[in-house]
Amino acid sequence: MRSRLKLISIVAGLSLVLGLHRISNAEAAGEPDYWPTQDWRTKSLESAGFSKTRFQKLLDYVWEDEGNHKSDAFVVIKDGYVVYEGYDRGYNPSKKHMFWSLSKSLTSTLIGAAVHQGILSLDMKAKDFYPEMNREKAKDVTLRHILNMSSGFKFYEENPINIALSDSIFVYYAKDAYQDVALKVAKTKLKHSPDEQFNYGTHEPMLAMGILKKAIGNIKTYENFPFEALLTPLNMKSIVLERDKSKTFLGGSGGWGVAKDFAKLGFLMLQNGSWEGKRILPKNWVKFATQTVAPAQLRRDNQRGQQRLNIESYGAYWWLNKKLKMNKERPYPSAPEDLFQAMGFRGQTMGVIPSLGLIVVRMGSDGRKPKKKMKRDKLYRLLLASLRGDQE
Amino acid sequence: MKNLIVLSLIALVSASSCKFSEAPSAGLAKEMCSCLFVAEQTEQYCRQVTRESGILANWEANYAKQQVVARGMNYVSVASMDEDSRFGCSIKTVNLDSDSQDKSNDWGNR
Repeated sequence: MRSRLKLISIVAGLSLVLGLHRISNAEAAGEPDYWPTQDWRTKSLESAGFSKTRFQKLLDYVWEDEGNHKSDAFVVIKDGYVVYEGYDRGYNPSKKHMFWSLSKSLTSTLIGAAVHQGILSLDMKAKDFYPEMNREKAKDVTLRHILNMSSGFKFYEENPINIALSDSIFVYYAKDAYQDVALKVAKTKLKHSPDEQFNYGTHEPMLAMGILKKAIGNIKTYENFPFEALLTPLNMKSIVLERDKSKTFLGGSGGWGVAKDFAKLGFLMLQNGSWEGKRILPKNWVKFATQTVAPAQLRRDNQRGQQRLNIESYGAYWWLNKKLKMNKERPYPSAPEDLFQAMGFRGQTMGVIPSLGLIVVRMGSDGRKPKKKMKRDKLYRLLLASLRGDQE
Repeated sequence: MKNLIVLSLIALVSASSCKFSEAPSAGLAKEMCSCLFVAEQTEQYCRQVTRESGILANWEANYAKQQVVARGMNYVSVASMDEDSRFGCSIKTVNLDSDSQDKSNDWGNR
């Protein structure tokens, strides 16, 4: 009996050791060839699996003549290696570009880092930081709703008649807003109950950054947080994060930097939130932010009367490529379903395709009319055609 | 024709009494501050951005102070670079512009 027990315990012990070994191998398999902390390494298009002639068609589109869209920077990274980078219109590898709403995805990642460090949790209530929200409907708003753009605030990101009258402008520049943008948002009326309606807007990340400030509670610690928690470990040294007069980070915009630095955010996502062996984001954060549709977008009521901005699927300050019930196809049919993007005004784009190890960053100065905008689906179609090496 | 005149008058009154008429000067001060001192673009480039956006305001830069003052729609706004360059520009003040009121909103001619 004792020898049988001994045998069982030996087998169990061996299984445990082998099992742990297997887990550690699995983790090791996910490690990149190198970490681009100091700089990105390069590879030729051909050695990374691209057809050079097909890729030229992509470049012809990205850099097409003035009069249509205007590209300023374009970078393609495959499996951690830069296979192409180009600049125009006065930009170069070290010239900072305005991120516009790419800043929202940066804000998402900073909030994720704060959750990992135990400073915030997704189910914290906004009213616990902003007593102004201790009122009907607003009292139930959580950080999760704020990240899913589903708090219910009465806020119109783009005024359909005149963009100059958009709430996204007044929330930065109005006399009662610029001194404390997050407080201005906290005082805004709610049109819906939390989680009832998805409504993309710059107000939600503003409030998220205000909550982070209040949760940290010390202005010096708060202003250093983005750098210590994320930007310095990844060596994203070009990044500038602008603030309001009360020193709250603007969150929804106000970010600046160079394309290859912003691409590191994409690489962090591809590594599931770890960087050089150190976990920066909670283990389930990347899935939550980049692959999980905001629950409010899945509600039956949401299938009708969607605003233009609401058609595309959305996670937590990242745009997704999941097909919503109300749509016939994915937002970007040419790209795989796992594509997720940071997107901003005037054509700012970072697309990440985990299944292909691809990161593409395009910064631009596009106009507002459709023919003055770069078509993102066309970009993905040409990019993926060059990777597949379709018939030339 | 009569309707057009009435609509124009309504638009004029709305524009002059708009509670957010500070936004053009505040926005311009901030964005031009960032254009010059964060993006380090040339003044010519930043002025081109202003022209393209059609903002009803004008601005002047003070390079020594890394500051931009913008005026428009009866407001004057000031934005400047933070002492710590990691934080870029922010709006410092937004006030009624008595000077521009006296001059009957002639910014378009300056």
